[in-house]
Amino acid sequence: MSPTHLSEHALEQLSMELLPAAEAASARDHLRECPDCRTRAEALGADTSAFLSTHAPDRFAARVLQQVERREEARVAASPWHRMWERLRTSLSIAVPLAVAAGIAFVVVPRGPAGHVETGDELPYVGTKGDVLFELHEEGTEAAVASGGTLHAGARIRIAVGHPRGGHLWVVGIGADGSPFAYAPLDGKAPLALGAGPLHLLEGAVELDDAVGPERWIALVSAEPIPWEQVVAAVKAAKPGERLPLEADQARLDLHRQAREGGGAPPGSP
Amino acid sequence: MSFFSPATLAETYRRFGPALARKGRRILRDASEVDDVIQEAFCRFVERGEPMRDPQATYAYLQRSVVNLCLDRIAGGRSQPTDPASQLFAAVPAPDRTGEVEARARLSLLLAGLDEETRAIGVLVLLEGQTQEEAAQSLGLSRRTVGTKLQKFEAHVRKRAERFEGDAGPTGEEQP
Repeated sequence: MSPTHLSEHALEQLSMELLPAAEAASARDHLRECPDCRTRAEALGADTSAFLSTHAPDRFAARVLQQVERREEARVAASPWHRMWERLRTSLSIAVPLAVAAGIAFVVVPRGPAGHVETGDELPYVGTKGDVLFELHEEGTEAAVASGGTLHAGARIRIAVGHPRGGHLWVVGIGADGSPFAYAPLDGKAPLALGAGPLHLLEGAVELDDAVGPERWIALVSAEPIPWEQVVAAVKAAKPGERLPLEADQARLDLHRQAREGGGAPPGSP
Repeated sequence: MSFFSPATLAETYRRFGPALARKGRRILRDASEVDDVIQEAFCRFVERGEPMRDPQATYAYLQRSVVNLCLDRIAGGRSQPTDPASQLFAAVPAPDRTGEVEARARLSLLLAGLDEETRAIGVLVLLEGQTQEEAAQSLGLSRRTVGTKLQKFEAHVRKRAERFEGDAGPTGEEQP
């Protein structure tokens, strides 16, 4: 590219209004005279508009602030002072009558936020976009199937989902051919009602057929029920790897379907 | 407690989010994972305290976070790099030389011991093709600092490669 043209960096800085005034004025002058750069600037602007049309800033800001607040609460709950207080509080219920009798004065430390006692039995937070917690568990195994993992034909899969506000849930599988399949609910008639709460297993299990190849699983939680036909249309409209253009919080796992374990080499193997 | 109002944060995202997404998509293959990275970068931005007064400093912080979070995801095996990113990291050989060299192994080797700023400079200059002046501007650093850190980046890569591959190591000069 000719050095007289604006660089990608300059165009980007101009679009974000980060260029110093004199440089910005010079860049705008150049854009008026240079159709090539103007075309590139317009493409950048179009990409920005497209991005913001599917990534609403207000919703994004709310999600970020909520996540930060939740982390802060978790940090408080995990702090040594908070733990110490919880232990002290438990022991106080036993020790206070004895202490009073013995004339011992207790120093009470301030308590952290109510309702955030570390129990150790909650499922860990899984960082996914839009607060959807989403895991797959193969029956007979303990660990969740991680993104990038393998699902074998014939395996029985339990689906676990959690969401702080709850809503209407679809769990969608998208195979190599791009066509969607409803894993939850299996009948694909209407989304499941999902209550607000932590990660929990849905009822029933999915028994996988003999399909092989890459498969993307997406959990969609929406405030309003989304018809299956709209989910299908969104899957077809989205570019590979992009978030589905739906008003729904989403989490996904990219998996690989393989033939049954011990059932021979996968297709295509020598 | 947060110093950020939802409106302030939304405006920051409206202004910088699209550019950060483009940056992340040059490194990670999966666009939705870039969305997750950007959300995490903004969380850290909020957690660090008050909003910055200088928009350039805000963008520099967010950009550095996004680049490093993307690299961490690849190094941790959670995300796949784009082809250009993979080529960049292919300069570093895998330690065992058996089978196909994975970008993840290369990247882990590449990044070990490098600070976030140096990693970001390496990506902006060697992957995105920015000049040192441009990288300095977008990261809020002096041109001299960028030059020094870029040398450090290239020397680090060379040293790491020699450690694992004898004299068959990569060189920064091979990069675009």
